[in-house]
Amino acid sequence: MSSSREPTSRLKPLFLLLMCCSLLLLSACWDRVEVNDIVFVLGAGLHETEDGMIELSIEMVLPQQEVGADAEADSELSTYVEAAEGRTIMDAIANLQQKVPRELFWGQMSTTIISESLAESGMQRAMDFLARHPGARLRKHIFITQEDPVEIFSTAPHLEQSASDTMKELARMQLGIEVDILELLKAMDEESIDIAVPLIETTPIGQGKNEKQDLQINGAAIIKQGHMTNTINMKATRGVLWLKDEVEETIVTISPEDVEGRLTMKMAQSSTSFTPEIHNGKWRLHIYAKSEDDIFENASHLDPGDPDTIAMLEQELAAEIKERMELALQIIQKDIQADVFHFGEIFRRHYPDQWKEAKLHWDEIYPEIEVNIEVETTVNRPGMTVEPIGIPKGEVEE
Amino acid sequence: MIEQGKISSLQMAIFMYPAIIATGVLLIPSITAVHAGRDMWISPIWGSFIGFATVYIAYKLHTQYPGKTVIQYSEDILGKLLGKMLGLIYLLFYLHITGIVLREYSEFILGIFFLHTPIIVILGSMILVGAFAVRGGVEVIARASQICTPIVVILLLSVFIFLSQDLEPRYILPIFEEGITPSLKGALTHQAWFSEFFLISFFLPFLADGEKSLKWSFISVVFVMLTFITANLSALFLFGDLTAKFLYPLMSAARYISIADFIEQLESLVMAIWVAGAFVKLSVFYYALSLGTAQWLNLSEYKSTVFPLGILLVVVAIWSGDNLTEVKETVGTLGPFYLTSLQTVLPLILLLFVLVKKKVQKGAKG
Repeated sequence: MSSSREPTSRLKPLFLLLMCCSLLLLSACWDRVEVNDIVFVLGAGLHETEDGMIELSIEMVLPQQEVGADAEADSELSTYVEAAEGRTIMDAIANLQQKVPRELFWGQMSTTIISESLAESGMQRAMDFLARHPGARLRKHIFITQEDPVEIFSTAPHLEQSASDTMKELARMQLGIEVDILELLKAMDEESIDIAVPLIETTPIGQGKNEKQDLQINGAAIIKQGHMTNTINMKATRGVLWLKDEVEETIVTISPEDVEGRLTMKMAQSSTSFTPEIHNGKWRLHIYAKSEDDIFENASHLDPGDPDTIAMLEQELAAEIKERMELALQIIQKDIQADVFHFGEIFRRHYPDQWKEAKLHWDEIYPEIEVNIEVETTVNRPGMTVEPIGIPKGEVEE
Repeated sequence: MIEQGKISSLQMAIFMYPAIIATGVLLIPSITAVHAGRDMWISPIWGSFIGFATVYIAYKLHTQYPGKTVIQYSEDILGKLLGKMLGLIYLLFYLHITGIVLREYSEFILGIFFLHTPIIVILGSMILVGAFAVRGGVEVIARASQICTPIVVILLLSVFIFLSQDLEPRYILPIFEEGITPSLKGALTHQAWFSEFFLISFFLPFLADGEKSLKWSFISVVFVMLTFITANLSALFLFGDLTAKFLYPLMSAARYISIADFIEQLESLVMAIWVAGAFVKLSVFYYALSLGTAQWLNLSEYKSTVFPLGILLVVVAIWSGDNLTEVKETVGTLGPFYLTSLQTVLPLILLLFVLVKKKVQKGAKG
């Protein structure tokens, strides 16, 4: 053993020298990425042109400028919008890259917009790439727009750093639906599941020469079996949120009968639970929603200090929430007949045997499901004041 | 004996754990999901039966021939010629499997991080590190894995914990939607990984506390099973029926993590799990191969076999498939039968042969 070691020790200086030389190889790292050579893509838009090509538009920002923008809050708009066409998305990226002197870096992307034309002809064309790309992140927000994505990205955001950031924050407010790529992929994978994706649009703000374009979420697009079929307005969208158990913050205004004025409540907590039932071949679904609210504005003559008033308000509130859900059900279950609420999934979990057969003709069963909605509400606190302010004492209703 | 080092049973259990899960935790969930669907978390439980059986067989054979590895006692059992042939089969088998492990490791790194780097660089650098560890002997491998294994465990746990807020346990229902068969089909892949526990037969002769070896090996099997269940459950709870569509579900899951806009893009954790785990796995396989080769050739020491085998391993890794799809196809379809037949069934036949032979000899004496 020791004899075999000896030559090694004699060659040790040479060995060390060789090891040092190998350090030189480190500079030839094939996959190094210098921050000076890249540009961050913040958002991407996909649009199908009239001749069937895919138009890719991106919003990008230079790395240094993003740092600078943090330092000076009032810095100028530092994002750029660029677009190119191609037969596939990758083809469009290659064409786009020709216009951009730096390598596009996709790791920071937060938003993807899909135009109505592409969504109608089939989401699959866009989705596969979004899942397959090695830089792909599944937690990217998805929006559908009825405008050209370029216009969405070209808006001048006044609070956030970029249009993509604005959309990300808007989605997070949870006033509308929030959908990321993973959720969309799940929905597209199952034949029986459809999905509602938020609609984004430009809206003018400011007046006269200060007029600028900003963004807002306005309702949702219904994707049915991989194709966009309908849009729903904001009012129906709120009902969808309840039925998907995704409401986190919402405001409900009620105007009780025989009472002058309105009360507005803000929800503190909510949950929706589903109990499916198959009885004599009839498919039923019991939905039980629970909500806890606080009074935020009292523009009526009611005195929220009175327990009877609170009980009455709770009933009114429950009726209002039920109405929202029923409206959404009417539009989506009966009219559009898209299983956005994953009712199929709920039945599959509880009745796997019946489901196996039912899924083959789910589009016939789904609109016929009888839905019972029950809402229980609690009005927790009257806010910081008790009796309505600004109303003479005599006019307050007891 | 050509290996002077001694390790404890606990140390063996520590390096067997990443030696099984390192590649399994990333590759298996999607293969299992294809067959087992929502029952994919049950498959590791079925698979672990093979793990327990393999450990028990290896241990029983060891007690019949203490101080010898499978390469040596196959000669005692089957005679010189047949024994040598069986030894050669095992050496070629481990050469092939280690090559595949090396290839899997490189494909993951190339496919996700180093898109432009030549594969030979990744293969070569890993095999070089492995070679140094193997030349250091069994003690070095044991201690290196004592450092790497806790890192792997902690990182895996943190991925699961960070993911927890996005998990939707409702995907666990319905259980046994199509009966018990899908989960058994899914277990085919798992049992192949569990059969790799036969590698302990190369380490049992070097244990300082041999009497505890069975207990610790079983504990190692249990932990491997629990890890597979957790990995499959988190993939299922996050992706639902979509799990089968992902190549590396755990990787995609780690990328999905986002906590308060601050803790996100955690693929580096998975990368660390992968590199640390694959290193231990490779060293263990590589060591068994080198030691076995030296014993088969009756060499006085095994270190001279390490580098030549390393070069051979790189070549085998490249040969093991033209592309990732082919490698995955090999692992997914051939693997379950190939690995188990050599690592569980063949040893079982050997053991039965020994027991029958002993009984016959006893009968002849009496």
